[in-house]
Parts: sequence; C-alpha cells; structure tokens
Amino acid sequence: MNELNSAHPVAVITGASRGLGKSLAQYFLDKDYVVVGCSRGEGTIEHKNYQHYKVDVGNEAEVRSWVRNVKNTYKKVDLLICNAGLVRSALLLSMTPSDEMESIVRTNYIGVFYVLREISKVMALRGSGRIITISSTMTLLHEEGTAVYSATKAAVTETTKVLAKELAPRGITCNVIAPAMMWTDSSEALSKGGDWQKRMLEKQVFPRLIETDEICHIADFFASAKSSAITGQVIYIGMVA
Amino acid sequence: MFDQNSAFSMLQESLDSLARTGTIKKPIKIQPTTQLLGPESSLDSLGFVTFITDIEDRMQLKLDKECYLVLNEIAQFNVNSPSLTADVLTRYMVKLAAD
Repeated sequence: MNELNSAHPVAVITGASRGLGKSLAQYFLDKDYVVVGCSRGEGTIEHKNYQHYKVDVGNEAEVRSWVRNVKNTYKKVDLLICNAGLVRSALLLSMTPSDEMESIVRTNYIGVFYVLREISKVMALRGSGRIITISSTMTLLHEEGTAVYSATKAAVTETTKVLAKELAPRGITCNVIAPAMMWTDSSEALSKGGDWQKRMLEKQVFPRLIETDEICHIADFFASAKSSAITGQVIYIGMVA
Repeated sequence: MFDQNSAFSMLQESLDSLARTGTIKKPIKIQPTTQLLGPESSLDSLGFVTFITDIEDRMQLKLDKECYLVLNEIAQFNVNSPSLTADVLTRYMVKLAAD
C-alpha cells in the first residue's frame, strides 16, 4: 500500500468495522481515499486501499502506538473521523452501575480525546487536515436514561469546538456531525428493548431513521476544500437545534 | 551514543527546519537556558506542540525505536504553570534514549 501514499488522500476512521464507521469507510474508499480503520475487533472491509488495526481507543498506549504506526506508514493524515462509540440500552442514572458509566465515558469521550490528541499532532506538523467527530442529537433532548451517553456526546462537541480554535492557525478544520436515530447494528439492538425507537422518532422533525449515506455526504463536505473556512460547527441531522 | 550535545543539536535542527517551512515565525538559537515553553518562549502553544512532535520523529529515526515525549514525566515540569528550558528537555531526551 505504500505506493499509494502520496497520490491518495488518507482518512483515519475509528469504529470502522460496523455501523456508521463502516459506511463512512466504504464511502471514502469509493472517493479514492486510502482508509485506515480501527476497532476493537477484526476488520470487516476487504479493499486494496483499506487497512484495519485492532485498537481499543480508550487505551492511551494503544492509541499512541497505532497513530505512530499510521504516521510512519502513510506519512500524513488528511481526514480523521472519530466515530467509535458505545450505545447501550438506557438506564436511569440512579440505576447505572459505575463500571457501565466508566466504560461509556472511556470509549465515547476518553477514546476520542486520545485519538484527537495524537492525530492533531500529525496534522499540525504537516499544516493541514480535516477532523470530524460524531456526536448525537441526544444532547438536545435530555432524554431519561441517557445521562452518561449524552454527557459524553456533549463533551465531544465542546472538545471539537475548542480544538477547532486551537488548530485554526494551521488551517485544520474541526467539525461535528450530530445525527438523530440511525439504522445501525446498535440502534437495531436497542429497538428490541421496547418502544424506545418509536418514542425517539416522534421527537425528530423528520420522524424516520437517518440513512448512513446522509451522514457520509456531510462528512464529504467537511472533508472537502469547499469547507476550508468552516470550523467548530455542528450539523444536526433530523432535529432542530 | 545519544548524549546531551546530540539532543541540543537535534533541537536546533528541528527549530531550523520549522523556521524554514514557516511553521514557526522566526529562527530560534538554542542555548541551555532557552525557554521552549512558558511566558518567555518564542514558540506559541501550537508551535511547541509541532516542535515536540517533530523531535519525537527525529528521535525515532535516530534511535530506531518509538519515543514519546511525555512532559509530565519530567520532574521539573509543572502542568499548572508549564515552562520548559532546552536544558531540562535535552536531559529528558537523553534519559528516554537510554531507557
């Protein structure tokens, strides 16, 4: 894959083995990117321009080593999409066990922090790059049972906005995509737990599941030169902010 | 052998390279007392991050092993009042190289 280094833009996507991350990886592969994906498990994409790493983004040492490996192999990162995240069935805060809370915070926020920190250094040294984080419209709803999940997604949004200011002098943009309910493996699992999905859809301005393609198109815009002066912004999909 | 003089040379080469590419605004001549981080530093915060990342790359190339400059591993580094001289950084680099 080394001969592709200079000719193809390089996208790093976390949580790329399934759901939205997999769709984003396939989308950018179709756009002629080299895509470097990661997840805790094996990769699920077979493509000559795709490389998968097994990484726990909540593990600082693993993230450091992985990003160093990516940097040594590809010499650059043009696009980072921090997508990896946990969606768990909703428990009221009063019933949420500590280890459940810590697990969600570690993957959804601490993992994003580690990846942003390491990849932003690669981009800062090169003086270019696009960063996209994935948040959620849950941060607008204050829905019962999402205290930890929504807090991590709100933290991701705020961190991305601060990073946007910090990296602007290097021409690096940082933006957030916050989709409403999507049809992914996680939402499918949640929907088996009762009428949760129906209730959530009723709160959206478009009461339907968001297609992953709709998110890919926004990521494409944030990744393109057309959005070079747009940073620190949040695009909410399916909900009025 | 990677000694403190090698580390000073590496810092200077990195700063010269970053100045040539416009990543930092003006050339910096390294002395042991040169402030690399803090109120008297010529590097802004993002310039310092870029500089440290470049030093990590150079150490890896020179030593053929992964090196991570983790500032809070430096005893003299106070995260609440961050400042760092070239002397302190080069001593830490020598220690990292020897580990």
